[in-house]
Amino acid sequence: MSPNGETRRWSNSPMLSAGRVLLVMAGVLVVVPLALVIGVQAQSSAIDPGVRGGGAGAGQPLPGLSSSQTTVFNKGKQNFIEVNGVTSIGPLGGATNQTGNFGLGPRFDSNQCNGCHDQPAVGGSSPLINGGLNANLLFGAPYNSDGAINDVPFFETYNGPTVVARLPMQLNNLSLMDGHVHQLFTITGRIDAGSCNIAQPNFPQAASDNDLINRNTTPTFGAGLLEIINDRDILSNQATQCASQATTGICGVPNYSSDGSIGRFGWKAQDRSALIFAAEAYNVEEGVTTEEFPNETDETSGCLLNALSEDHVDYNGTLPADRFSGDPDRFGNFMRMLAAPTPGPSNASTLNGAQQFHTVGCDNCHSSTGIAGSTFQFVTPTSYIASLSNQKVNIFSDVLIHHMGPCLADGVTQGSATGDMFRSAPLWGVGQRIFFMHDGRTTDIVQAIEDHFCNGDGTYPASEANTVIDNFNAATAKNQQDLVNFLRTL
Amino acid sequence: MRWIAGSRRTVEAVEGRSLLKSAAMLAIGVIAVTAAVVPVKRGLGARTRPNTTVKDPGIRGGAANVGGMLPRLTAAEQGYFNDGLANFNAVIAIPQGLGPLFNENQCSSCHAQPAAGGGAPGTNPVFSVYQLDGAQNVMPSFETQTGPALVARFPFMSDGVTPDGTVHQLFTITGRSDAQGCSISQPTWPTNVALHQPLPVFGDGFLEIYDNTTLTANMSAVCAQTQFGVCGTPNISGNDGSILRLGWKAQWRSLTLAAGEEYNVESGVTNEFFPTELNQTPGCQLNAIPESGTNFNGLTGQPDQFVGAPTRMGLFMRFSAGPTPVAFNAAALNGQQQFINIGCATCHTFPGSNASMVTPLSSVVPLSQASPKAYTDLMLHHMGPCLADGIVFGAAQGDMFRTPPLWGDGKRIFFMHGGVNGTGLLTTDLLQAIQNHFCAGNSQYPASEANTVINNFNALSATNQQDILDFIRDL
Repeated sequence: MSPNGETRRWSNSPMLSAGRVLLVMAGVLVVVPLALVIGVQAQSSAIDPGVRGGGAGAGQPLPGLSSSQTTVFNKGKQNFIEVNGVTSIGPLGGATNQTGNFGLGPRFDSNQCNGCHDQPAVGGSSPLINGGLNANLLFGAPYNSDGAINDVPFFETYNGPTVVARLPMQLNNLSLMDGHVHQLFTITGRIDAGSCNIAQPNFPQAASDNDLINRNTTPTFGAGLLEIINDRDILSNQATQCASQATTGICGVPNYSSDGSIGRFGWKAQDRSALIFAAEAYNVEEGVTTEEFPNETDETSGCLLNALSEDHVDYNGTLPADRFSGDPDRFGNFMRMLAAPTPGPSNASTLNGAQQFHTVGCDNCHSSTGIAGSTFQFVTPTSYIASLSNQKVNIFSDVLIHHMGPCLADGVTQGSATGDMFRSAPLWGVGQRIFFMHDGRTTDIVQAIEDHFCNGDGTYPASEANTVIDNFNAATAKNQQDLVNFLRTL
Repeated sequence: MRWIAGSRRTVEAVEGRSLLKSAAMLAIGVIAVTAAVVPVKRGLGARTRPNTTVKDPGIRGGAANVGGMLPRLTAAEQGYFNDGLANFNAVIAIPQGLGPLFNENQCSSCHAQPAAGGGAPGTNPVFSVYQLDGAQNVMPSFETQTGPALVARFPFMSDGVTPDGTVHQLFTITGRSDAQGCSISQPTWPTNVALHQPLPVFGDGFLEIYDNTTLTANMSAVCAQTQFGVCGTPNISGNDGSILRLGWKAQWRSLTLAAGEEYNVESGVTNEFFPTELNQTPGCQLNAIPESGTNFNGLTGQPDQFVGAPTRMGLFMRFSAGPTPVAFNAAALNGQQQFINIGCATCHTFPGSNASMVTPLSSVVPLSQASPKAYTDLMLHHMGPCLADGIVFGAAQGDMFRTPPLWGDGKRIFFMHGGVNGTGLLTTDLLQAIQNHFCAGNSQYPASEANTVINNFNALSATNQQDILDFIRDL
């Protein structure tokens, strides 16, 4: 059950003042069909059954891995779990940290990957207890462990989602673009951080400038399948989707990567592969410099405590060779070989819900192989990891980016994804997700559905999902409930 | 190509039109331009001419002085340099991952002058590969036998509106004896195809690890020298927020990422960074993907066999030494001083012009706290409509380019990035290359930031001009 659902569910409606509606209509007429902006939300009576019980339906390696692949998977998982200190002289493992687990900071969001990627298993999404604030069993909470003296930013709560902060515009110059992650914490005060003395970002100022957005953790289950889906399958699906734009209002676009193929990872499909995603996150979230991203994100004198890059190929590596590569390669292998989430058991309600999911039109964007009535298919090409080869991918995402309206817009542009555009979030595993939407704004999956509805304004067009959400709200109470029940089986 | 009358007339004609345009632009600029846009006064310099007796001494003779590894690498690091170099030199056929689309079948074909890892060789290598093994490709008209190998980027997608910017490969594997069943066509080349020649990678390990603050401090110092009209803009990496450094438009963050992208883009070899083929026509995906990745069987083999080729080639490039200049004689020493005096070093920065360009502590000892003589600020600069190619990468607009490093220019054959189809400003003449930095603005792009410096050059005595050329050819 959602603790907040009833009070937050209709957060859009106060915006529908008459003047605003007129403005919205004027601004949007030129951009999207009129039909999209005349919808007025009805209330759904469906109730989110909550996070599905039972064992974690995710976190396992792909079935059929070879023994050496399994070894690499397990080693990568160890690296994913490892806690990083700042320097090689530090608190980890006693007087000196000689395990290679160093490089944290000068700025960071967490000190281990699964501090945030942990629900319902290692590699997943935001855990129930906020990863940045969670008291790690061994080393204390990242924000104040080992002598760190950070304040908890006002937007992080103990039971809330783990969110990172981005500033759409520069903190002290709101006319200049920014958009990057601004790490929550610094190493200042840590016993392994020497004389480093830097302040946390001024988040209250950013918030008062309306220049602060948050993003919730995305799960990495099935990353190996996602990264090798053929572009042509994505584009073929796009063509089908856009052919019905006149009635659905939906027509996504790819966010192309620098090599000309389609980006897939992250809230805006800004990253091309598990490996690049891993290397970037290691630098951005933990401050560990890598061969892919070799510089610190803060270079204040006294805070540069290690040689660059802190993580790299172990030139003196000896067998076993799985210690040879840098951590991003190891994370990449772990994520690549993580199996897709396994759905829970179906029943008459959820089977009807799957049908309603198609009838309402959710699968226009949350497309997946195997939905009755849908022609859509993602089948992976042949992979060097046999377990990834020729697999149907039940991802419930078209891997395209869509306009989602000003209510969801975060003002950050990444590639083709402008401020109001987001990748259709894959719904596999959503049955055991706790926080929904890019900023984790709700734990109620019914609210999450309704949050897809948004009228346009002078800056952004209306959400492409409006017609579908109207369809959902027009469905019978039973069909709505069955649809929600279906989602919680995923 | 020499400084010929025909090209002068063309340039003058452009300038005549652009005087009016720059006045109009000035008016527009005052209204609309933000602080991020270059000062408009740069468009006002009238073009001057170099002294007619000055001449590019040509490609320096003698030893290459480049292509080797950094001094003082450990034995293990030396092993990885050699392993990465072997990957860089490897010839790729279909079983190794070539295609379906490709520009070349070997990194060192294009990066060859004067040694593996370098710039474009004097004989265009794409002529050796385009019909190799039965391939049926037609050579695009912009490639010439004695020109540099050029890759093609399209400013726009086929709708003519949506920005593109990606590489469109010259060739396909169709017809190759090892590509049975694959039948795909080469691209239809648009009128405005942007062409880029290969950049050397020597010494890039220094460039990728400069602290961001070192680069921005240098930029601030340059921008404060208002007499040259030069400033610069960093190209900022989307997510980690650091400064991009590599490639003609500073589009790459690191050698490892560049290697991963190039392996797929230039040779069609899918890898763990860029895992899918760029053409997915049935019958043309002939290998499991990625074609270069973790060698799971390497667990019992050699450590250097464990990771995919991009990481290994990244190590080769990271461990490659920067080009070593020859000992400067009196003329070259004067040339170096003139190079600073007239403002070349504002963009082509080196320790002699800014002693603060020092690398941070590196885990690779020879890269640590070093003062590489790279002659670049790694910033983007507006270069005017004459050089503009319309390709946008992040902060790099269609007229903006990263200052290319000049180390190794003594042995370079081709200068400038390439240009737009048919109007390329590529040249083998160093003096022409200097002059090609000059360009008046137009309604689309502001004037080149280099205009004042080029006029300074042209105002020098013949001796001083010649000494600058001699100095650069010693690099």
